[in-house]
Amino acid sequence: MPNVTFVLPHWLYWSGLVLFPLLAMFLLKRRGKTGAAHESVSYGIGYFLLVTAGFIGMHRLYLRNLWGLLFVPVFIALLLANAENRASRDGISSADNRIVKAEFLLERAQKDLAEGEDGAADKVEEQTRALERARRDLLAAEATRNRWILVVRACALLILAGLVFDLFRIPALKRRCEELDRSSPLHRFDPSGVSATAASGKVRPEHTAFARFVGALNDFSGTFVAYWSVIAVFVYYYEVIARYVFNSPTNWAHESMFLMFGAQYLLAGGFCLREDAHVRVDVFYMKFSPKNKALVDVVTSVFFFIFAVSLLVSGWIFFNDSFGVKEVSFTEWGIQYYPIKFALVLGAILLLLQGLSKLLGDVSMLIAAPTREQAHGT
Amino acid sequence: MGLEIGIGWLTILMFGSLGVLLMAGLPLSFVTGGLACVFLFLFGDLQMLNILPSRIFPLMTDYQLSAIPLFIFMASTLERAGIIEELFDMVYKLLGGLRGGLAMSTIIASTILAAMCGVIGATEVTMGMIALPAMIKRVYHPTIACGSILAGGTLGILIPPSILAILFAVVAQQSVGELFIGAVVPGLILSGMYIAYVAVRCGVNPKLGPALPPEERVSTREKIRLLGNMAAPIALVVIVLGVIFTGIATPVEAAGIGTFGAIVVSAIHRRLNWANISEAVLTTLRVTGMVLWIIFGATLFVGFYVVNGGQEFISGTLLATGFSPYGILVVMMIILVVLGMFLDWVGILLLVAPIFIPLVKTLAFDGVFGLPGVAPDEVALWFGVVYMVNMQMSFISPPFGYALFYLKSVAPPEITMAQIYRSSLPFMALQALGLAICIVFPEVVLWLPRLVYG
Repeated sequence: MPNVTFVLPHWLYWSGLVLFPLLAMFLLKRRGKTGAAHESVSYGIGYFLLVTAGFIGMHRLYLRNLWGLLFVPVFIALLLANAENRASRDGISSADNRIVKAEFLLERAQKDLAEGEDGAADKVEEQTRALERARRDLLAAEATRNRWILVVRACALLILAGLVFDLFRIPALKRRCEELDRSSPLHRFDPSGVSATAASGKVRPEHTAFARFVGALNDFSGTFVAYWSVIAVFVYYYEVIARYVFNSPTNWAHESMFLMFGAQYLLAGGFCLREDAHVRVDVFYMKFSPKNKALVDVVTSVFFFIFAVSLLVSGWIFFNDSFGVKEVSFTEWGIQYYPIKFALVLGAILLLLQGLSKLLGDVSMLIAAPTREQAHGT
Repeated sequence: MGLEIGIGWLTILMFGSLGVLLMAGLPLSFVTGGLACVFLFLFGDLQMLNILPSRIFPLMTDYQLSAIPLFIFMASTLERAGIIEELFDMVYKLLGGLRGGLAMSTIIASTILAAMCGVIGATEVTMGMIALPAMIKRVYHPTIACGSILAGGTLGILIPPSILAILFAVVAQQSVGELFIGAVVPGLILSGMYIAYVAVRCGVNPKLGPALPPEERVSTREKIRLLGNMAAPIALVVIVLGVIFTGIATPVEAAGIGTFGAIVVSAIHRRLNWANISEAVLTTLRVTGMVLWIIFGATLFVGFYVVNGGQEFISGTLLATGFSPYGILVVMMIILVVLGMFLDWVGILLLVAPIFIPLVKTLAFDGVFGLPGVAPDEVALWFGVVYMVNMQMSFISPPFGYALFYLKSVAPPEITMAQIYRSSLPFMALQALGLAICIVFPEVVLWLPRLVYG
């Protein structure tokens, strides 16, 4: 297989992190927010699967056609042959080393012979034989390697031929699948009922303009960084395919992803606070009246603010040191570190704003408590 | 401020204030983070607060940690696709005629799920989302309902792929593969004991977990069709585990493969669309954010305690007992359980493993009650698995067992934290029994690794 040597440029990484979530938000808005049953098959997903997972026949399984499973043994053969190919590289390099060593020893033995040293002739003969053996081994190893490369190519071509054939077969497959759907419908569990209640966060009412602004800000930034997980799927997909199919692992996939996730954890703090996703011990807390809850929250929020402000200030110093020297990572990829460190500052700001909004809500509730409690009937 | 204090008093002060603030309902991550800042200032100075980013940033750039969002995303994609419900539904219909069948199905499905997820959060959360509402609907007793989810879910860190095993292997410099394989049999034993417990309790008192009404039970043919539906999750388990077992890919890469596989499976089940993906990533973010912020806060808190000699304090107290090797091991296990009530598992691992492992390696375990003991070169592996089995308890031990919080974060509002606490107790007793089996019969742990590695 040819080598894939794509290195993700830094500008593409950063702009991808900014643009992909925006694109995803736009697509969601256009397609509508209902996750309702999407029971019919679509060309989009069919071709998407053909391109991304067609090599194991997933497009055909999607269209309820079990012949797709034929791709699987061919692909496994390709992976095994690739592994043999990788292993045979070791054989070649060890033979190479022995040749170099034998050549060196032979030269020295010949010099000894010229100087008329005892037993030098034996040494020359011995090293000549060793050299010949190593050269024979090299040829054998190269022949093995070529054989495996041939197997890899044959498998790859077979899969490619199947995919090209299926490229034109998809419309017919789709028609047949739709007929099958009518005659024997799929019995699928509908998960939307269960997860809709569990998955949605518990956002408290936001009465003031400030609270609404902070809420919208954290909702946006949370949704924004959430979509980064989708980027990870494709980057790891690329890494695994490049490594195991094309024998050319990347030097950027892992680093780019753990840095991205690192920023994601921090920026999610405010979002999780707004959605009340941070875990608390509610043995006693649950039994408090809303007014007492607000009172206790105001008191304990001191510790929250100590933490958030410390994080903001120390995070800013941390970021500023890094920004001052335009810090990059020590890896081959050399990605800029300071934007990731800025996530500490930004995350602390988002968290602080959300905490402030919650505190103001609690305080206004304490002031208005008697009337509001009656009004809400709690 | 630079105040001076003895480590004994510091221990009382730190954990006392931790307890008080937690009871007042401040989220765990802010309690630990805020207290760490307060103590850093009181017993150090303002400059000490600069330790915050230098402790948090390594976590942000931790390669292994990125397996957490990936595995959670994988699970929530499958969940949005209805795969996990189908898996659970299938096991339930197979066992529907039995008393407590729903709880037993939860445990069996959790065991299979445990083989998909390396951290307990995803399993716990997913089963909490699916099985708990189902059991509440069919008026299961909360102890059986929550307990089976809690205990089944914690199998996630025992049954491979387990992030705990990887972390332990790194700290103790052991083979990840050996720990993985060693944990298989104890994991299955625990799973079997949970099922047996539910079967006995519900068999004696059907009100705890009523059997499916006969008109809802399914035919054998339907059962076979349901088994066919399982092909997708089973294939994923085989691929993800196979890839890790054969050493082909790292756990993170395996998680990446699993995530993509989950998207493909969701397409095959006709559930792949932008709305579902959006829901899945938002769910992932809520869970990831919650877990990681707890880790951030707890690391600061635990880090301060360790820097101030908490480690030496505990180690010294342990050595002062003068017990036999098995006596010391039992004391260690009790300490782990107690720590499990207060600290996070990463904290426990970092705090306890460096003290305990060198100590354990110097002790001779010749067997108890006349049974064969452990060969000196196998002690490390044996202790690693025993440690992991013990950690099962720390996840569900009140008041701060992480599984309790995971379950609470997805449980319907009518389930209180107190109910979740109560439900964990009988299953903790079973875990203690499982732990005793692993200690008394070390062959349970060592037999399979010997078979595989020779």
